[in-house]
Amino acid sequence: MKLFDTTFTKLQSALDVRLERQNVLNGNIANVDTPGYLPRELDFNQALAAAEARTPNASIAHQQPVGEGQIALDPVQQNGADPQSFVRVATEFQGGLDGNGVDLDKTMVELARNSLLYGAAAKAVSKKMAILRYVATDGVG
Amino acid sequence: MSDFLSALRIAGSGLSAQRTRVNVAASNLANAESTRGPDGQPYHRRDPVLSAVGFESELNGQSQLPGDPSAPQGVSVTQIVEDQTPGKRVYLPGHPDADGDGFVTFPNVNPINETVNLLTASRGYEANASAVDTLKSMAQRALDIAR
Repeated sequence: MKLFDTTFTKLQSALDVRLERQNVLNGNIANVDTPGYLPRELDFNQALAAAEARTPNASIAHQQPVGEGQIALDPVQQNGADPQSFVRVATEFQGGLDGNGVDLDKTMVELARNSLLYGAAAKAVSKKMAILRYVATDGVG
Repeated sequence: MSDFLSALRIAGSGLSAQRTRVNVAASNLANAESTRGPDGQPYHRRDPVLSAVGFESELNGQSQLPGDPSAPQGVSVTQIVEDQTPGKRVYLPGHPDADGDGFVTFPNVNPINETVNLLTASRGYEANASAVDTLKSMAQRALDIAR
Protein backbone atom coordinates (compact mmCIF):
# COMPACT_ATOMS: atom_id res chain seq x y z
CA MET A 1 0.00 0.00 0.00
CA LYS A 2 1.50 3.26 -1.11
CA LEU A 3 0.79 6.55 0.58
CA PHE A 4 0.31 8.40 -2.70
CA ASP A 5 -1.30 5.70 -4.76
CA THR A 6 -2.40 5.72 -8.38
CA THR A 7 -5.71 7.34 -7.46
CA PHE A 8 -3.86 10.62 -6.98
CA THR A 9 -2.23 10.49 -10.39
CA LYS A 10 -5.52 9.53 -12.00
CA LEU A 11 -7.29 12.42 -10.33
CA GLN A 12 -4.46 14.73 -11.34
CA SER A 13 -4.84 13.68 -14.99
CA ALA A 14 -8.60 14.11 -14.79
CA LEU A 15 -8.22 17.62 -13.35
CA ASP A 16 -5.65 18.51 -16.03
CA VAL A 17 -7.86 17.34 -18.88
CA ARG A 18 -10.97 18.98 -17.39
CA LEU A 19 -9.10 22.27 -17.12
CA GLU A 20 -7.92 21.99 -20.71
CA ARG A 21 -11.46 21.25 -21.87
CA GLN A 22 -12.70 24.31 -19.94
CA ASN A 23 -10.13 26.39 -21.84
CA VAL A 24 -11.29 24.97 -25.17
CA LEU A 25 -14.95 25.72 -24.35
CA ASN A 26 -14.02 29.22 -23.15
CA GLY A 27 -12.31 29.72 -26.50
CA ASN A 28 -15.57 28.83 -28.24
CA ILE A 29 -17.50 31.29 -26.06
CA ALA A 30 -14.95 34.00 -26.78
CA ASN A 31 -15.42 33.43 -30.52
CA VAL A 32 -19.20 33.42 -30.46
CA ASP A 33 -19.23 36.43 -32.82
CA THR A 34 -16.21 35.59 -34.96
CA PRO A 35 -17.33 35.09 -38.56
CA GLY A 36 -16.40 31.70 -39.96
CA TYR A 37 -15.30 30.30 -36.60
CA LEU A 38 -15.87 26.57 -36.14
CA PRO A 39 -16.15 25.34 -32.56
CA ARG A 40 -13.38 23.25 -30.99
CA GLU A 41 -13.97 20.23 -28.84
CA LEU A 42 -11.73 18.18 -26.58
CA ASP A 43 -12.58 14.50 -26.28
CA PHE A 44 -12.25 14.04 -22.54
CA ASN A 45 -12.13 10.23 -22.53
CA GLN A 46 -9.46 10.05 -25.23
CA ALA A 47 -7.32 12.74 -23.64
CA LEU A 48 -7.64 11.13 -20.20
CA ALA A 49 -6.68 7.71 -21.53
CA ALA A 50 -3.61 9.25 -23.18
CA ALA A 51 -2.72 11.14 -20.01
CA GLU A 52 -2.93 7.93 -18.01
CA ALA A 53 -0.84 6.06 -20.56
CA ARG A 54 2.03 8.52 -20.18
CA THR A 55 1.83 8.85 -16.40
CA PRO A 56 4.80 7.00 -14.95
CA ASN A 57 4.26 4.39 -12.29
CA ALA A 58 4.76 6.40 -9.16
CA SER A 59 7.38 4.17 -7.70
CA ILE A 60 10.53 5.64 -6.17
CA ALA A 61 12.64 2.60 -7.08
CA HIS A 62 12.08 3.08 -10.80
CA GLN A 63 13.29 6.67 -10.88
CA GLN A 64 16.67 7.48 -12.37
CA PRO A 65 19.20 8.93 -9.97
CA VAL A 66 19.53 12.64 -10.52
CA GLY A 67 22.75 14.60 -10.28
CA GLU A 68 23.08 17.61 -8.01
CA GLY A 69 21.23 20.68 -9.26
CA GLN A 70 19.33 18.65 -11.83
CA ILE A 71 15.62 18.29 -11.87
CA ALA A 72 14.20 14.82 -12.30
CA LEU A 73 12.25 14.70 -15.54
CA ASP A 74 10.40 11.66 -16.64
CA PRO A 75 11.28 10.95 -20.28
CA VAL A 76 7.81 9.56 -20.97
CA GLN A 77 6.24 12.74 -19.68
CA GLN A 78 8.07 14.86 -22.25
CA ASN A 79 7.08 13.11 -25.44
CA GLY A 80 3.61 11.99 -24.36
CA ALA A 81 0.59 13.46 -26.08
CA ASP A 82 -0.64 16.44 -24.09
CA PRO A 83 -4.37 17.26 -23.84
CA GLN A 84 -4.09 20.05 -26.44
CA SER A 85 -3.33 17.49 -29.14
CA PHE A 86 -6.83 16.05 -28.68
CA VAL A 87 -8.56 19.29 -29.58
CA ARG A 88 -10.65 18.81 -32.70
CA VAL A 89 -12.35 21.38 -34.87
CA ALA A 90 -16.00 20.70 -35.66
CA THR A 91 -16.52 19.51 -39.21
CA GLU A 92 -20.26 19.57 -39.40
CA PHE A 93 -21.43 23.13 -39.66
CA GLN A 94 -24.84 24.33 -38.60
CA GLY A 95 -24.75 28.02 -38.02
CA GLY A 96 -25.92 31.42 -39.11
CA LEU A 97 -25.08 33.61 -42.03
CA ASP A 98 -21.65 34.58 -40.75
CA GLY A 99 -20.44 30.97 -40.90
CA ASN A 100 -19.99 30.81 -37.12
CA GLY A 101 -20.72 27.34 -35.78
CA VAL A 102 -20.83 28.09 -32.04
CA ASP A 103 -24.07 27.25 -30.25
CA LEU A 104 -23.95 29.58 -27.25
CA ASP A 105 -26.51 27.70 -25.16
CA LYS A 106 -25.05 24.25 -25.67
CA THR A 107 -21.56 25.56 -25.01
CA MET A 108 -22.65 27.22 -21.77
CA VAL A 109 -24.26 23.95 -20.65
CA GLU A 110 -21.08 22.05 -21.49
CA LEU A 111 -19.12 24.62 -19.46
CA ALA A 112 -21.41 24.07 -16.47
CA ARG A 113 -21.14 20.32 -16.85
CA ASN A 114 -17.39 20.41 -17.16
CA SER A 115 -16.96 22.63 -14.14
CA LEU A 116 -19.23 20.37 -12.05
CA LEU A 117 -17.13 17.34 -12.97
CA TYR A 118 -13.96 19.32 -12.25
CA GLY A 119 -15.47 20.06 -8.84
CA ALA A 120 -16.17 16.36 -8.33
CA ALA A 121 -12.55 15.40 -9.07
CA ALA A 122 -11.26 18.25 -6.89
CA LYS A 123 -13.50 17.12 -4.05
CA ALA A 124 -12.14 13.59 -4.36
CA VAL A 125 -8.59 14.95 -4.07
CA SER A 126 -9.46 17.00 -1.00
CA LYS A 127 -11.15 13.96 0.59
CA LYS A 128 -8.06 11.85 0.03
CA MET A 129 -5.94 14.65 1.49
CA ALA A 130 -8.21 14.75 4.52
CA ILE A 131 -7.61 11.04 5.09
CA LEU A 132 -3.84 11.53 4.89
CA ARG A 133 -4.04 14.52 7.23
CA TYR A 134 -6.05 12.44 9.66
CA VAL A 135 -3.37 9.77 9.68
CA ALA A 136 -0.50 12.30 9.85
CA THR A 137 -1.97 14.00 12.89
CA ASP A 138 -2.69 10.79 14.79
CA GLY A 139 -6.37 11.14 14.18
CA VAL A 140 -6.55 14.58 15.80
CA GLY A 141 -6.83 16.84 12.74
CA MET B 1 -31.43 4.80 -17.63
CA SER B 2 -31.05 8.54 -17.41
CA ASP B 3 -28.62 10.54 -15.39
CA PHE B 4 -28.60 14.19 -14.53
CA LEU B 5 -25.57 15.09 -16.58
CA SER B 6 -27.27 14.06 -19.81
CA ALA B 7 -30.34 15.88 -18.49
CA LEU B 8 -28.12 18.97 -18.47
CA ARG B 9 -27.40 18.48 -22.16
CA ILE B 10 -31.07 17.92 -22.87
CA ALA B 11 -31.92 21.22 -21.21
CA GLY B 12 -29.16 22.73 -23.34
CA SER B 13 -30.77 21.39 -26.50
CA GLY B 14 -34.01 23.02 -25.32
CA LEU B 15 -32.26 26.36 -24.80
CA SER B 16 -30.82 26.14 -28.29
CA ALA B 17 -34.15 25.25 -29.88
CA GLN B 18 -36.00 28.05 -28.11
CA ARG B 19 -33.33 30.52 -29.18
CA THR B 20 -33.90 29.40 -32.78
CA ARG B 21 -37.65 30.00 -32.32
CA VAL B 22 -36.90 33.52 -31.09
CA ASN B 23 -34.63 34.09 -34.08
CA VAL B 24 -37.30 32.94 -36.51
CA ALA B 25 -40.01 35.06 -34.84
CA ALA B 26 -37.69 38.07 -34.95
CA SER B 27 -37.00 37.44 -38.62
CA ASN B 28 -40.73 37.25 -39.35
CA LEU B 29 -41.41 40.47 -37.43
CA ALA B 30 -38.54 42.29 -39.13
CA ASN B 31 -39.83 41.28 -42.56
CA ALA B 32 -43.51 41.98 -41.89
CA GLU B 33 -43.47 44.60 -44.65
CA SER B 34 -40.83 43.15 -47.00
CA THR B 35 -42.53 43.06 -50.39
CA ARG B 36 -39.55 41.51 -52.14
CA GLY B 37 -36.88 39.00 -51.27
CA PRO B 38 -33.90 37.56 -53.13
CA ASP B 39 -36.29 35.76 -55.49
CA GLY B 40 -38.34 38.92 -56.14
CA GLN B 41 -41.30 37.44 -54.24
CA PRO B 42 -42.74 38.89 -51.03
CA TYR B 43 -41.34 37.43 -47.83
CA HIS B 44 -43.02 34.26 -46.56
CA ARG B 45 -43.13 33.77 -42.83
CA ARG B 46 -40.97 30.93 -41.53
CA ASP B 47 -41.78 28.26 -38.99
CA PRO B 48 -39.21 26.18 -37.11
CA VAL B 49 -39.99 22.46 -36.87
CA LEU B 50 -38.98 21.02 -33.51
CA SER B 51 -38.61 17.30 -33.06
CA ALA B 52 -37.67 15.01 -30.21
CA VAL B 53 -34.30 13.33 -30.65
CA GLY B 54 -32.82 10.40 -28.79
CA PHE B 55 -29.99 11.29 -26.47
CA GLU B 56 -26.87 9.37 -25.67
CA SER B 57 -26.91 8.27 -22.09
CA GLU B 58 -23.96 9.64 -20.14
CA LEU B 59 -23.41 6.39 -18.27
CA ASN B 60 -23.56 3.56 -20.77
CA GLY B 61 -22.89 5.58 -23.94
CA GLN B 62 -25.77 3.91 -25.73
CA SER B 63 -27.79 6.00 -28.06
CA GLN B 64 -31.41 6.02 -27.01
CA LEU B 65 -34.06 5.50 -29.63
CA PRO B 66 -36.85 8.10 -29.72
CA GLY B 67 -39.43 5.29 -29.47
CA ASP B 68 -38.17 4.10 -26.09
CA PRO B 69 -40.48 5.68 -23.50
CA SER B 70 -37.87 5.45 -20.75
CA ALA B 71 -35.21 7.19 -22.81
CA PRO B 72 -34.38 10.85 -22.25
CA GLN B 73 -35.39 12.97 -25.20
CA GLY B 74 -33.61 16.05 -26.37
CA VAL B 75 -35.06 18.51 -28.83
CA SER B 76 -33.68 19.71 -32.10
CA VAL B 77 -34.78 22.09 -34.84
CA THR B 78 -34.83 19.73 -37.80
CA GLN B 79 -35.91 22.23 -40.41
CA ILE B 80 -37.31 25.71 -40.94
CA VAL B 81 -40.23 25.74 -43.35
CA GLU B 82 -41.86 28.58 -45.25
CA ASP B 83 -45.54 29.22 -44.68
CA GLN B 84 -47.09 29.33 -48.18
CA THR B 85 -50.45 30.90 -47.30
CA PRO B 86 -50.96 33.93 -49.57
CA GLY B 87 -50.36 37.34 -48.04
CA LYS B 88 -52.82 40.20 -48.11
CA ARG B 89 -53.11 42.26 -51.30
CA VAL B 90 -53.27 46.02 -50.96
CA TYR B 91 -54.15 48.50 -53.70
CA LEU B 92 -51.10 50.73 -54.00
CA PRO B 93 -50.67 51.71 -57.66
CA GLY B 94 -47.61 53.89 -57.00
CA HIS B 95 -45.68 51.12 -55.23
CA PRO B 96 -42.65 49.77 -57.12
CA ASP B 97 -43.80 46.19 -56.41
CA ALA B 98 -47.38 46.75 -57.60
CA ASP B 99 -48.64 44.28 -60.20
CA GLY B 100 -50.54 45.19 -63.40
CA ASP B 101 -53.76 45.87 -61.48
CA GLY B 102 -51.99 48.12 -58.97
CA PHE B 103 -52.05 45.59 -56.13
CA VAL B 104 -49.08 44.89 -53.88
CA THR B 105 -48.80 41.49 -52.18
CA PHE B 106 -47.56 41.89 -48.64
CA PRO B 107 -45.93 39.11 -46.56
CA ASN B 108 -48.25 36.66 -44.80
CA VAL B 109 -46.88 37.82 -41.44
CA ASN B 110 -49.31 38.64 -38.66
CA PRO B 111 -47.32 40.71 -36.14
CA ILE B 112 -49.66 39.74 -33.30
CA ASN B 113 -49.10 36.01 -33.90
CA GLU B 114 -45.37 36.56 -34.15
CA THR B 115 -45.29 38.53 -30.90
CA VAL B 116 -47.11 35.69 -29.16
CA ASN B 117 -44.61 33.21 -30.66
CA LEU B 118 -41.80 35.42 -29.40
CA LEU B 119 -43.28 35.42 -25.90
CA THR B 120 -43.85 31.66 -25.72
CA ALA B 121 -40.35 30.99 -27.07
CA SER B 122 -38.92 33.36 -24.48
CA ARG B 123 -40.87 31.60 -21.70
CA GLY B 124 -39.69 28.26 -23.04
CA TYR B 125 -36.12 29.53 -22.91
CA GLU B 126 -36.64 30.61 -19.29
CA ALA B 127 -38.08 27.20 -18.42
CA ASN B 128 -35.04 25.44 -19.87
CA ALA B 129 -32.69 27.88 -18.18
CA SER B 130 -34.27 27.16 -14.81
CA ALA B 131 -34.03 23.42 -15.54
CA VAL B 132 -30.29 23.94 -16.04
CA ASP B 133 -30.10 25.87 -12.76
CA THR B 134 -31.98 23.14 -10.91
CA LEU B 135 -29.78 20.40 -12.36
CA LYS B 136 -26.65 22.34 -11.50
CA SER B 137 -27.70 22.85 -7.90
CA MET B 138 -28.72 19.17 -7.66
CA ALA B 139 -25.26 18.12 -8.81
CA GLN B 140 -23.70 20.61 -6.41
CA ARG B 141 -25.78 19.17 -3.57
CA ALA B 142 -24.56 15.70 -4.50
CA LEU B 143 -20.97 16.95 -4.27
CA ASP B 144 -21.70 18.56 -0.92
CA ILE B 145 -22.67 15.18 0.53
CA ALA B 146 -18.96 14.40 0.58
CA ARG B 147 -18.08 17.58 2.42
